[in-house]
Amino acid sequence: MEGGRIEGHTEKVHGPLPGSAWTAASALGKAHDAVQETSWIRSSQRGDTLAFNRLVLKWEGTVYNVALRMLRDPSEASEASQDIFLLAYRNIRRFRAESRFSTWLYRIAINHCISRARRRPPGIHIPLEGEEPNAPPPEPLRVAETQEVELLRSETRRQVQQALALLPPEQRAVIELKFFQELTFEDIAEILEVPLSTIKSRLYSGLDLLKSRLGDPRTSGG
Amino acid sequence: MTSECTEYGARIAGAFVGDLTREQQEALEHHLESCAPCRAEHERLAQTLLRLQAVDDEPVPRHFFIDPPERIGNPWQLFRQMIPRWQAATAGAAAVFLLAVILAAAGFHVRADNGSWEAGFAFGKAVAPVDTEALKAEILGAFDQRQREAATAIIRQLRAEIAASSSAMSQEQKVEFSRALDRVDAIVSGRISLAASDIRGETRRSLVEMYRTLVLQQDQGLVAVNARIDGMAGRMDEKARQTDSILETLLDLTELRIRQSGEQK
Repeated sequence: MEGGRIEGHTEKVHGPLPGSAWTAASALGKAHDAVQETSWIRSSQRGDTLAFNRLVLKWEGTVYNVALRMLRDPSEASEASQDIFLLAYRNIRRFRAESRFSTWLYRIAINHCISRARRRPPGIHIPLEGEEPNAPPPEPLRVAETQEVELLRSETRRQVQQALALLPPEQRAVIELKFFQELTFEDIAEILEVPLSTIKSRLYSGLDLLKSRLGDPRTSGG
Repeated sequence: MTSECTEYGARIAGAFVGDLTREQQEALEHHLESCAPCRAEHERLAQTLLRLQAVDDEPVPRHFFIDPPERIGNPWQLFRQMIPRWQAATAGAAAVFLLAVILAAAGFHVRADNGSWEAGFAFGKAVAPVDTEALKAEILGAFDQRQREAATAIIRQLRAEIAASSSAMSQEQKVEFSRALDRVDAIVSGRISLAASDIRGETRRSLVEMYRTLVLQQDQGLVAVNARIDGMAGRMDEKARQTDSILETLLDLTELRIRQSGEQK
């Protein structure tokens, strides 16, 4: 069991390629991506905004969803994402190749989101999915999905978001990096710049809280 | 629930995140087979993680591109945005420039003298004084030269006067004239000596004053000195004109006495 995914739920359908060929092609693709990313980073460090925007395009989905799960509010997550990329752009010259760019970017994103979450006045109401008065209408159901399945999924998503919101920002950050970004403990410790033992402690405490809210489908109703 | 359950309960979460050794994993699985409460706990956590996975990534509502930055006008901001290597180079260059400015202000100099190098600071030291003795000798020499020329001109004029009037004078008049000339010579010599003494005294005073000025106004260079020399030269010219005027008066007086003496006889 790697990266926090439960066996049987992380298998991906890779298409017609045989396993070894797919592995080789995948490794080649990753190597090409890494070289390309390094090139964009170096150009960005020389002030090339276009190269930096290529990095933005590659990472904006990840950054936005980290911000969304950390902050729960789509508009705030959007604003935070813009701030995160602006911070990254301003400090790109300080980035060292000693660590991965993703680690560096995660650190900026998580720290910014934790900082924003702490600045929030207590008791502020964060709208959940479907609660916004001017929320756009839900997407039409796909043919293969019944209305009941979609409603169940939507309800589960709402419950998870509520449960995550109960966690302190530091625990939420560890849960995010471990289960949604599938990073190792070592990577998380490097991103958050705290000892490995602290990371594990935060993770297990957070899981306990989540388990109490989400562990029993018959009792968890948000 | 047995006492083992407490130990294994803490390991259940570790099993889901790959935090157990193979032995710990096998021991936990063995325990779960025989312990219903721990198995239920394991199932609850599995359900929790399954629900977490229900939260898929959302599509981004918009792109978060960065606009090209405005030109940075603040040097400190520019410095902060440099990579550390450039920061170090810039700081080093600034330090060298600052050191050069300080050394220049302190008058730092390096001099090669007789094959040896000498470095030092001129900060707080006086500017090298002017050679006042040589200047004094030059001024006095010029003064003496002017005096000699004036005296020579007077004697030449007197001899011309004598030559012009000797043919018309009697022997007694010539003797009387010669005596008068001697007196005039004595008077003129005395006047010249007096004038020279005054001018020498004034020259000394001027030199002392000039030296003080040089010491007090080192940074003004020789401009003030030249002005004072010009002024002194002007005063010497004035003295010479006074001397000439005295001599002319004396000559007139001598001529008048000679005429009176001739009329009496």
